[in-house]
Amino acid sequence: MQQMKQYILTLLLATTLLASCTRDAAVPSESTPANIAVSIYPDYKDVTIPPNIAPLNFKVTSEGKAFVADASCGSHHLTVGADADGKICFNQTDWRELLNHAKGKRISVNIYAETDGGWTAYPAFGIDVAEEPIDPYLAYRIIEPGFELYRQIGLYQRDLTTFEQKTIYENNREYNDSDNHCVNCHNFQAYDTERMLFHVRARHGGTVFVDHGKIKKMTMTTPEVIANCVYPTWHPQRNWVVFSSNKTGQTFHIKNPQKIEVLDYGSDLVFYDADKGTLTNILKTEDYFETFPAWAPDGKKLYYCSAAAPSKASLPDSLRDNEDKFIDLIIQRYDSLRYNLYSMTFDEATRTFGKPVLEVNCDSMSQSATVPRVSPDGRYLLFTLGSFGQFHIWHRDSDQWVKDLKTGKIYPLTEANSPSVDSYHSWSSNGRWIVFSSRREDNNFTRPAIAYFDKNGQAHKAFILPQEDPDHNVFFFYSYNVPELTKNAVKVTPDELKDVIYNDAAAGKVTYKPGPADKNPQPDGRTSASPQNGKKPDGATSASPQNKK
Amino acid sequence: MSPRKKPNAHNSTARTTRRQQPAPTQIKTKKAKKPASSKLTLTLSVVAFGVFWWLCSITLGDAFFLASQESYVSNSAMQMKALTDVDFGTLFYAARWPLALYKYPLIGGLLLASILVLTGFLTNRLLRLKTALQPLGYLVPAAVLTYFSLRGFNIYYLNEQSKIFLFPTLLLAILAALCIARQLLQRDAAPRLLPASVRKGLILTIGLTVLIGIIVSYATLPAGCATALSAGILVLGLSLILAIDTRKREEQASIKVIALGAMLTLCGGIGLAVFADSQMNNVIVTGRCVRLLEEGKFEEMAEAALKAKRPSRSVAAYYAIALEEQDYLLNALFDFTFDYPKIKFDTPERSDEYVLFVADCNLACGLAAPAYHHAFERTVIEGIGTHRLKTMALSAIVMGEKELSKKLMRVLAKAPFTDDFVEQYSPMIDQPGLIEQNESLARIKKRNSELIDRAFEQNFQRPPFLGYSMHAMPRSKEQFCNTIAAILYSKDLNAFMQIVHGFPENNIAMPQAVQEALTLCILTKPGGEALRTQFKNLDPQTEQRAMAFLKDVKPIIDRQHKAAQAKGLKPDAKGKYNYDEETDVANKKEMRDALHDTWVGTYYYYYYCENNNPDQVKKTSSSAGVN
Repeated sequence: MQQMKQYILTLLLATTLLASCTRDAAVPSESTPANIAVSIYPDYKDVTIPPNIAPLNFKVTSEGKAFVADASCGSHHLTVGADADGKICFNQTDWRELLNHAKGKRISVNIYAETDGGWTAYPAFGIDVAEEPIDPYLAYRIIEPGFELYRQIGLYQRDLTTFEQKTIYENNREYNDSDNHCVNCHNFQAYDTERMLFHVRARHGGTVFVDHGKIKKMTMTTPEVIANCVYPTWHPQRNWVVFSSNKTGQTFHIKNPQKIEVLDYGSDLVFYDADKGTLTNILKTEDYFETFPAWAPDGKKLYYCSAAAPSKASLPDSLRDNEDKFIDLIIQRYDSLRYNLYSMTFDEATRTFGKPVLEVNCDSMSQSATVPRVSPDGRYLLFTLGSFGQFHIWHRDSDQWVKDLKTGKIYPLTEANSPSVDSYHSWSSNGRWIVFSSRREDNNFTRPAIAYFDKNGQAHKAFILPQEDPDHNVFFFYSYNVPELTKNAVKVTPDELKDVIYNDAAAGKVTYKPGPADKNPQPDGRTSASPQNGKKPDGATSASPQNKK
Repeated sequence: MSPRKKPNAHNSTARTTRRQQPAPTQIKTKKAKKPASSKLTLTLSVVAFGVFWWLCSITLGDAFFLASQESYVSNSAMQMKALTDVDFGTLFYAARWPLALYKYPLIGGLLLASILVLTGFLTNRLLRLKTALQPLGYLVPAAVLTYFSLRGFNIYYLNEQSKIFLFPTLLLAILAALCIARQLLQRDAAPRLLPASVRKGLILTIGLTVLIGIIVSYATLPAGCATALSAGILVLGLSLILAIDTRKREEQASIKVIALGAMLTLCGGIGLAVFADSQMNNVIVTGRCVRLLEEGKFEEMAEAALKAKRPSRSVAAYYAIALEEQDYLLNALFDFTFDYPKIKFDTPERSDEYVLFVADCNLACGLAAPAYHHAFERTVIEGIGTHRLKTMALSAIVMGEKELSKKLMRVLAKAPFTDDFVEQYSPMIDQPGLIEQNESLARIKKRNSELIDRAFEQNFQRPPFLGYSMHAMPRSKEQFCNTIAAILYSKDLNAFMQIVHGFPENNIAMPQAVQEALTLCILTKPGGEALRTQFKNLDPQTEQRAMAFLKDVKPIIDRQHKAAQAKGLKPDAKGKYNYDEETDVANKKEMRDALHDTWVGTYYYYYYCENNNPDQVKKTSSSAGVN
């Protein structure tokens, strides 16, 4: 009955606690300085933020029955109060005004907490405001971080200057075996939403292409390609997409806290001409797994990851063609499969790729790289590095690394990284910001982390995407996947996309166009680019990853 | 002629006469004291309330408790978005609040019974049934409970649990609307049932309560949910007012009619209770087991499971958990009746009963990561559920995932009636040493620590909760016993023969079921004879019993083989006949019926007669999709 009383009391108390966030406040005239740092959530202390970002609302988790936050830059002050819940919520207009004053400067945040002994003033912390803005839109997928199953999945676009989130597309909300489908791998051409694509899996499957308002669904499988098209990269100027084609499976740890291993049992690279609807193998190899293609911003080079497939030599002759046994073999060796970074030149006129060149020999560092992305100025190659495998989103030791393509130096973005997962990333169109998926809050739910990437090639401390309610992420039972920055909002509506997705009869089908890889499945460059014979890249030795705590 | 006037006219004579002969005068006098129909109405309502309260809290209470624990509700619109995104989601959201009361079945049952009794009351009022027919009005709410009873596991699995309150409330709303419409169209001049002062007081109290309820709803809940919940409160208030506002009927009722009406209602209730228990027995027992599991009452849990009429896999699983918690798995596993009924699920593509319990089973034997995995997968498909959150939170605590545990505790704390759990387990997050003070969790943690690092779920054979790794040797006595239990459950006597030597080698006493399995191997398996020399101290009586059992089995098998041969069937390499399904079922039934009374509870009986579903052992798929 005690609980019943509490239930009723909670309901009544909640009435009075409504609108507890945001209240007018003044800095206490008298306060005692505290000698310990204030505790806040999310951790926005000493981060660098864009001048156009939405308010960094936060929650004071230090003790107190009331709080005041005073954010100031020079003579400009923004003072906000909070009740016992500690939620500091800034007015958006006032916040924008503060950021305008603070562009290129530092905001000092003083927190005061009221306790029975009066007001306590905590040591101030700073927030640096960069000169360069971030692209105003961030697209992501929201999904429960499940393992095999999915239900309600959607692609959304957040206006980073406010808290507004718009739906790009949501799958069927109600469970229905004839309609259940998943969406993934959304991708845009050169930060512009005029051209975008994403995959639909299970029912109504296909790849949806949007080209200047025209929507088309394509079935991207042909017998010549090993599996469905998966990770995309849109050519920066032309209507071409390079995909990896992956045979993927997964297995679940019994004890390892990383919970899940997603493994490729085979993968190649394919070239898709979206105007003609033709698909061509670029690299078709049995002994290597190529994946995560990424165009250089000038469209003259393609970066990708590749790992040597486990040798079937350990299998008896009679089982070497048995796919299940090969899968078992890969599962057994899951933590010795490592991906290196390669590049290939591209001749736009002939649509041919050059020989693979080893960019980063991760295997020699006992590391494995995924998701290469080149900065818009073409100088930095950003990638995720973990100790093995290719699905770093579940690897707690995964971190953001870069290769300076000018000097060849390879190094981790230490300031931006966390002890937990720091994986899938993208650049802003001005190259000053990176957004990546991080599980730094609880090791399980990914949140978009944003970090400033300065002119010296160093990333600053990252901050989690601000939310209107500072407690949002605590109670949000979903993950944010594949954060992609864009310069403009997606123009097609969810209903327009739905009409095309549900119209299976109207789906197009790619045709296969043979290419050089079909004549020579093991390209000449393969041997020289293999980890066994490849040279160690500059700086590789000194760039060993830091141990995760 | 008025019956009241006659006794007055012959006052003294009448007294004498009444004593001497109970003739017409006396009957007339009794008629004069006939109670008004309102008394029948009142009596019936009280009896009906008692009956429905019993049905809703005692008979079906544990099933509805389970539904409430499979559901989740909080005042956060963001958390409830998955629900509000579906059709009628806002109504479901509102109805989840009263469902949460089923954490305490007596209280949840009280509210549901009130709604159902009001439904019966308003049905009578609407139809203006004659006094003697008033029990018929309660057939309507009885039909609602009958419908719920027919739902089985579908009452909560892949179905919205809050329908338990939503349907009756909607029905009540319709009846209330019809009653009001009828009242407006046909004015009733009869005096009211209750005195004006009492009536006004009650109506005012109800009105005020409704108003407070609505204000609190809007002040604390997202607008859509508040509107729907307010509508529900309004319906309940209005129905109560309609009931209070009932007018007297001129009709009189005899005590006999009242007694008969009450008796009929009572009998109907008993009939419904028997029916509901027969239809929902497995859901009720599963719910009881889950409740007892949360309360840590493992002995009662095992007893509850054993009392199930024809237990399903869910009941068997919670029985195994109860034994596992008491370190008694091998000693009593086969005391259970493994004759699973076919469960009908609404969604044939998701008709695997395993998903209902596998997370709890995983946790019970220390497989914390798989417990979290399976609980989360169900969360993905069915949405957040209170019991699943608890399983995930305990798994996270065992795995030492502090931040995740804290997050789950905070999500749990947002739901009503979870504070006991949160208060009990939250301190363990930052002070893992406290886990040792909780016998159950300490045991789970120890089991978890015994697991090997490089192992995957795919290496484990179903039922995974028994912790039988196909790829690794047991690393502790407990793992060994679970492995043996899994092998015996799976009837894999060849595997059993390979590791049974672990008992003497590790100085582990062999439970009766193991000895019975061993004698079965000795007597029937190729190479089994060699075991005799390894187990010289085997109780000779066990072998004699095995021989007696096989002697009983032989004529049945011989007859079945002859029948098969007569049909032209030929045995396969192992001497087995491939019967058609009908014959197979009939043969198994024949054997069960013939051997049950003598041999039930022995491993022999289990091996030959029980758990004959070929799907009993499944290897976990490794080719599932990747999100």
